[in-house]
Amino acid sequence: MECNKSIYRTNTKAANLSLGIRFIASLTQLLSLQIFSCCLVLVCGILFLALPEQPDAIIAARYLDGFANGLIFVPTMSTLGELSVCEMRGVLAASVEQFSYNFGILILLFYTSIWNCDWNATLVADQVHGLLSILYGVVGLGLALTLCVESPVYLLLRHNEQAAVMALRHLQRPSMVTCETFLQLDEHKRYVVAHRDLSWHRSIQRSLVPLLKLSVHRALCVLSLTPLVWSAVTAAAVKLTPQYHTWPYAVFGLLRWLGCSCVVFLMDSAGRKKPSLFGTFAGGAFAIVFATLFETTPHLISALSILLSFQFFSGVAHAASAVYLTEAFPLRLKPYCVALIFAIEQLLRIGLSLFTPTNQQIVIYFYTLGGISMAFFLLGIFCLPETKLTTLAQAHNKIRTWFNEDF
Amino acid sequence: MRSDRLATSPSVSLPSQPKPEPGRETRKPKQSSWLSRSGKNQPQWNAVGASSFVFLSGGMSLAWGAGFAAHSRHRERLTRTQHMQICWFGAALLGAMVSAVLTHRTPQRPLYVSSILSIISIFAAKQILELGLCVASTIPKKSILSIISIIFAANKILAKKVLKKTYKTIDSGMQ
Repeated sequence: MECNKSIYRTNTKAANLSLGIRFIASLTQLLSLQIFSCCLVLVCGILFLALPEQPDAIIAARYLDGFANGLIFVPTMSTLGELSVCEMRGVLAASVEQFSYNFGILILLFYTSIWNCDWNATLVADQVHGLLSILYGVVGLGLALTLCVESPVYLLLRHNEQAAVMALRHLQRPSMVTCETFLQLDEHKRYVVAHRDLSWHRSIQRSLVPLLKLSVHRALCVLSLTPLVWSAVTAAAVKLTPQYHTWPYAVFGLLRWLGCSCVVFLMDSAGRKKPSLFGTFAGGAFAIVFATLFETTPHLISALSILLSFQFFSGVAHAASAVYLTEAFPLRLKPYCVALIFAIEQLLRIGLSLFTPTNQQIVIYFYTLGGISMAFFLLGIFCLPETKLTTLAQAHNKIRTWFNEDF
Repeated sequence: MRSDRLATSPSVSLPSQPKPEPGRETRKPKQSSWLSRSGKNQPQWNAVGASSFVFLSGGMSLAWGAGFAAHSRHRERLTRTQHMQICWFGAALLGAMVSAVLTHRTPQRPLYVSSILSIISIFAAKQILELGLCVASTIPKKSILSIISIIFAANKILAKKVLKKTYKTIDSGMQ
């Protein structure tokens, strides 16, 4: 009897202990990256809204916002392909990354041009930025807390098959376990098994070619929106209208966003290769034309319109880069490679914002940009694969070869 | 629906399912209209909705850094100093480095009930800390040091006791 009692007592103690451990484990789950970066965006918005006059506060807010973006970029881009079914992967990746970035750019340019119209609002324009950031933070936090679903591949890597089935069930509507769910699970399992056994140096070897291709594609994407492009816009517009901060900005953002949104929804029907090749060719041609016009003619209105349509085609060209980014790398190295590409982008941006350009430098910049775009177009005919309606493993195999026969 | 979503724990029993035929190698996409497909796959968009909202604010900051913030009060400073321009990119680089290590190591989906609880507990802890600071500002420094040392000593004793207890429970469990 006594023995029984003591066993009971120790059992309750053990239960308490495990409860405590569970509580601590749940505390660490606060570190979920999505929630953390949404909170950072929220704090950034509050700083912008509360202290718009103090440059130190603005710098701190920009640090927080950048940290949040970097934190969320890598997990999102590396798990997007695992979350989506293969006939929706292109649309999902392109709309989450490129569409959102371009829409954010549009919003900033739009309210900038409104606030420059001599409109006596009591709100400073930086405070609008803060309000919008708070809105994004709150909505994102709500979505992350309620609708976020764990990647089934992550769960399979932890040998938690039942949870993977549950996650797959939540990823499709109606949320029931059907035959299709099990087919999807089978596919993910094959993917995990094929990539788990790869050794480190094999996966590094496999990820070198995609790294090269994608870094060029993403670098072109970065080059289409830099301080140099901004100074080109203002240099072309400043002699045209006295209010050069107004309509050219709005049209600039609108065209870039329109170009992106035209092709985002075609990613799974027209494919990834055709829009990006078309966009790079047209964008390169427009960049060269802009450089010659800017150098020679006094008709700056034509130069400005050429520059604005260059933005349209750069929106078209780089929508597919996000899709390639999700499917290019082997499973084991995926986060590191995505982070490396992102780091290359940021280094390029830092390097380009370090100097203030003259008109001659702008001309040289656009000539080089056009040349690189043309070279990328010509090489892309042979090197870029068409990965629509393929599984993740097949897409990776297509990208990792130097030349593809998808014409 | 919401409570259903919570139950991702392995304790949920699955109904018996038909096994997929082993011969079939690749899934062929069914022919269906775009609208019905996107309606069916809506939860996948929702699952990454949070990050697309963060990317929206990132796009705004990108245009800000590229020089389009002509409205800003800090326009002069932006063109004159590089710190304002560069800070977003540097922080993004750092964030990417951190998250490259954390991806596939930490779960994306939190257990939200417990996380809300922990948020509340953090707020409570912060309140207590602030109260403590208020009290501390009225007391001279020497006594603060002595109080801290007392707290540390108490902590040590407590930790020893707790450790002994846990060892005991583990031992009894083993027996």
